[in-house]
Amino acid sequence: MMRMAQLMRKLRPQPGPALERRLHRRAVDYWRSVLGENERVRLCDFDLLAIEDDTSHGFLLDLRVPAAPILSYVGPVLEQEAGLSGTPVRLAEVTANCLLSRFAGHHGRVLESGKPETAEYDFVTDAGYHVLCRGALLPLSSDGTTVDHVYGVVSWKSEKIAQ
Amino acid sequence: MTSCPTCKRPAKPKARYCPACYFVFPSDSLNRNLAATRAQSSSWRGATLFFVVMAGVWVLQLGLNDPYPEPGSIQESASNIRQDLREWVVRTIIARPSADARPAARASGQQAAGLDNSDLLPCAIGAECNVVIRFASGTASYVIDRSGDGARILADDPRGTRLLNSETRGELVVARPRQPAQSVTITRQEGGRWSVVGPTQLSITDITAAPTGRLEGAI
Repeated sequence: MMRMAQLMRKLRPQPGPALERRLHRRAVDYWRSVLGENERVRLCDFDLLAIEDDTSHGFLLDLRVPAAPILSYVGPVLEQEAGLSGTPVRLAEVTANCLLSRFAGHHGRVLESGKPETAEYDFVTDAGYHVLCRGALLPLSSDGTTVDHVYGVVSWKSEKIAQ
Repeated sequence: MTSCPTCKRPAKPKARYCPACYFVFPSDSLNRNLAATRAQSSSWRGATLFFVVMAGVWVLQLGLNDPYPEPGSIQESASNIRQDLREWVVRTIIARPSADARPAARASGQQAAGLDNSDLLPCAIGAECNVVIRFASGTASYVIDRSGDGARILADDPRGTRLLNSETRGELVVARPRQPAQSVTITRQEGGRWSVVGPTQLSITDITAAPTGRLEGAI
C-alpha cells in the first residue's frame, strides 16, 4: 500500500517553476539564464520567443554603428504604437513621443554598464486613461566580446482615471 | 467592425492595441478583427464573381440563333467560345472514364502483382483486360494491366488479393464475346512475382462452370 502511494506521488505531475507574470522581469531572468558563466550573451544564443510567444512587445536595436542605431526588429504592437510601417528603420526616424522611442533612447546606459537596464514611464491618454509602462533593455553581442545589440521589451497597463 | 473591450471605442481591422486606452488586444480578439475584414472582402468577392458569371453567360448566348455569324463579329467570337467549351466538356468530362469505371483494385489502391513472360498472355499490349484466375482453392476476377512496361495483375476484391498472395499456381482465363476462351498457366516466383508458363485452350463453359461440390449442395 505504501509503495502504491509512493508510485502515485511520482506519477503525479510535479509543479514547474512559476511563470513570471511581468514581462520585463521575465526578459531579465531569461537573459541571466543564457548568460550563465559567460561574459556576454551572444545574439545567436538569445531566443526572442523564450520571453514572449509572439515577441509583439519586443524590439532589437542594432548598435554596430553607435552613432546611427538601427531598429532591425520591432514587435507588431510597438510597431503600431510608433506608427512604423516596417523594419529596419533608423532610431532617429522614429517619432519622439512614442513608447519605442522613449525606451530605446536609454540604450546608452546599457552600452556603458553592459548589464540589463529597466525603465518606467507613465502618461495619460486623451481618452482619460493613465498608462503605466515598464521596460527592460538587455545587452547582446554578435561576437561574444562587444555589446553591439540591445533587445528591449516594453509592456504596460492602463487605468481609467476617476472623474 | 469590432470595438475595444475596455473603452468600447471602435477598433480598426488588424489593430493590435487600442490607441485610446492602450488595451492590447489578445490574439483571439485580433482574429475576430481579421475575420470581420475577411467577411467584408468575401462579400465583394461574391458580388464580383456573380457579375463575371452573368457577363460570361451573356457573351455565350450572343448569336445563339444565328448559324452563320458575320466573320470578325462578336457573335462569331461567342460561337467559337461555345465550340471550344463544348469540345472541352466532351474531352475532359464525357470521354474520360469515371472513377467507378476503373478497376476496383485501382480505385481502392489494392496491391498489384508483377507478371513476367507477358508475351504469352492473350491480352493486347497497351490495354487492360478482365480475366479470371482459377486457383486450387478458388477462382477470382482480376484485371491484367499491360499499359506500361511488362504486365501487372490487379485484384478486383480483397479475396482476389488473398488468393494471389497465398497460391503458387493458377490458370489465367480470358473470355471474349463470340470467341473461344484462352488460358495460360501462371506460377508464382520467388519475391511474389508471377510468371506465365504456357498456353492452354479452354471452352467458355470451362470458365463459367462452378466447382462440382458447390453444385451438389445447390441442387
